[in-house]
Amino acid sequence: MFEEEVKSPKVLILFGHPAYQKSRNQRAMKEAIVESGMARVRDLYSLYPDGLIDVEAEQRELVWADIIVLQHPFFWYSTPAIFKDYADLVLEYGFAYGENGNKLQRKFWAHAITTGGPEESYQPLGYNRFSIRQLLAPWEQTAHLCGCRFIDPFVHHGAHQVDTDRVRSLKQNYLKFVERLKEQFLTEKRT
Amino acid sequence: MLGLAIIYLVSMVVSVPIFTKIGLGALPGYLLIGVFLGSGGANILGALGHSPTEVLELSEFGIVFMLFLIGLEIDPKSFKQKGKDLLGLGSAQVVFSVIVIAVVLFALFRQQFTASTLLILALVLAFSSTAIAIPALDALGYSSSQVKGRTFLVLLFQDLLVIPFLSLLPLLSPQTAKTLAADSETGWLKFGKVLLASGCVLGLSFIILKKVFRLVAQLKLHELFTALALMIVLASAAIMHTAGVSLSFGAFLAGTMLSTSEYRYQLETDLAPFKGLLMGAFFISLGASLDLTAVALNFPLFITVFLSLTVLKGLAVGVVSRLFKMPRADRGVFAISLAQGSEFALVLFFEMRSHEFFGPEIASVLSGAVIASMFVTPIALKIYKMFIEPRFFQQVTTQKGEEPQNLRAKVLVAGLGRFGQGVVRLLRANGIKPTVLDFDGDQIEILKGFGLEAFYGDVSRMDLLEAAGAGDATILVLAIDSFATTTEIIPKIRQAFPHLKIYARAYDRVHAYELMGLKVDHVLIETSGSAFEMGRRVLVGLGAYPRAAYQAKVLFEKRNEASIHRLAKHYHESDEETFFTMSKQASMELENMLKDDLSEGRQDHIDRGWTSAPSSSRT
Repeated sequence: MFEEEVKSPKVLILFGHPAYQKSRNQRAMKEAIVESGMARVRDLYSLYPDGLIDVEAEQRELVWADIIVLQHPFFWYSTPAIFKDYADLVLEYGFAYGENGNKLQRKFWAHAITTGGPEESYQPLGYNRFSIRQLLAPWEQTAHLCGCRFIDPFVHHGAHQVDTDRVRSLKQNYLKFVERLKEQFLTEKRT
Repeated sequence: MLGLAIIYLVSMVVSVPIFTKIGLGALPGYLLIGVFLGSGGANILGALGHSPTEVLELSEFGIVFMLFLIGLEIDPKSFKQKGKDLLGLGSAQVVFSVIVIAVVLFALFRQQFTASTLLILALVLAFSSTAIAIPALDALGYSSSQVKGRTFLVLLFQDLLVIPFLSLLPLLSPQTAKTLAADSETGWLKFGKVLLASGCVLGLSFIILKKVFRLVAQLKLHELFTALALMIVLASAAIMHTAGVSLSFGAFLAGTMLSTSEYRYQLETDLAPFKGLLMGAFFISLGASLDLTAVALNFPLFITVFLSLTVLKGLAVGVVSRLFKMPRADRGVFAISLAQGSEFALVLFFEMRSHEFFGPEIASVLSGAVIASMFVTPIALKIYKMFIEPRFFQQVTTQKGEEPQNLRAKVLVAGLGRFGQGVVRLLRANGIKPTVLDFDGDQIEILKGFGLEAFYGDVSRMDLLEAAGAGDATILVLAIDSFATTTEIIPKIRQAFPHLKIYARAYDRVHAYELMGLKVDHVLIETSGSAFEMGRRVLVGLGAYPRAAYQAKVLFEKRNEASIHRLAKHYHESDEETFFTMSKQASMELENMLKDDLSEGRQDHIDRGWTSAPSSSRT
């Protein structure tokens, strides 16, 4: 067999922050990605201010992507509301799961999250009791049912503490995270 | 007289484009072409039997108009807060400049002149030129900056100082005894007259503001409005002049009175050409009156005065700006804009000559130095802006880069009917204060009562839009009643303000097609929002589930808009009949698309996800 041509994996960032005008960290992360040009970014609240999602357009985007990153602040141990609507509508039967629902098979699914609470709190003895990964269980299972590989999330803790240095390193770390995802995707594809 | 007018106009038409192209602005051009016309150059005026002073007197009204227009830009309320700057900066500038210049003059010309002459000279040279400084700052983009505000305050202080100065001059004159007898008016009497005249001007402006303007505006006769504007300026100048105050100060006072009026932009627009032409004539005449032979004969005096005006005064002003803790980037601009001689100096030299402080030749040399210093200012400012200022600016922008972007960009709303009002109210509720223009004086009056920043004016005039700030605005909302006018003026606006985004209200579909053909940034049919909302409410009234009705409305809106955009293309390409069939087809499509959506389970994607999947496979 001849080797498949190695293309750079396509990254789709689904971005959602309902109060974007007040966001510091998420904004910086989003801008860094847009500037880098290494991913396509869809800002869900900006595309659908009335909450009515264009399902066909979103499905086309998902088909196009190799790696799907949900980038959002952590609200009540989950995503902001629009992501739930997104999952309800876009991840349709016959598209993402069920009979012939194979369009997301073997794609990567990741979350890039900012939280207010400190890292220590997301532990059995911390006040949040569960780890982020545990709290994301419904999303992990969603990804699993759609045949995606769920990646350990990128998390930035203590989001209320914002200064220039922290924001700068956050941006760098986020870009590195996406870069590593791409490498990982390539290696898994070869094997 | 006709010949003279033609010479002046030709000179302007020739010199202004050249100097503007070079980037120096019109002023040095005027002065230089004046020198060429006068006895110092080709002596064209002399050959035709004219003297430059003929025009000088008339063209001085250019400065009167300029001060009126400056007054229009100054809100008396903000003026109160600036009182400290006015007195502090103003007196510091004068005191520092006088000391520095006096020291140099005394050191060099102690033998040639008396002590009192030198002292008065130092004072006269401390004055700077409003006619040079303000237009030069405007030309280089400082028109709404803090530096310009401060510069102007200093100039205003000098203006006020001229009054007591002129009345003191005879007392110091070598022939004091003679003149003192003639001048029987005491200082207090004079002061009383000034107060009385100021009262007259303010009262006059106030009455005109309230009644006459509105009357004239209702008549919608443009030339009458212009006549009224000219009348206000000249009358207020004349009244103050009878009290012994400069003409321009009276005009300035009337200007500030009208600065909060809704007619402000229309006044600015109407008077600007008069100001421009007369100022041009003024500077040409100044250039022409330059006596180069006298200058050559007294070169040491000329060069000393010239350097005192530019270098010494610039340094003195620079020190003042440091003392007053002005921003570092502003100091240079401030110093350069004030480092030249004043047009008052020219008048004062004439006065001094008539009081026998010195002879006519010295007066010419002094005038020559003042004119030369005026020539230098715009050039020096330009150089500063190009080479020195960028260094400060780099620091400022890197700091700003970190801040979140702001929404405070400027918005203009043209047309204040019910539609425009709705737009303005929503914007204001969100902290954005649009500038509003309308051609209905009554309407404006009413809305001003609600605290709106509303102005009277004709939107189809580009110069008016310019005056209202279209040059640095981001968005223009066109909400005027006449849709024919809307269509007409859009190409003009596009050409005059290419950066300005136009959001236009369309009367109906056909109007929307026309506007889309003109590449307007946003077109909204005036009834679409409210009509569809009414439709939604009817659906709910008929028992539709509210969320479903809302979705139906939004979906219809989106598809309707897409269909308008598609049809707009055909509107400009196909013939009438084809287009008619097309639009009919489109509207039927739109209806069918949504028909069974509400009653039965819709097959649309919008809630397909919420209908149950085959039971076995649903998670």
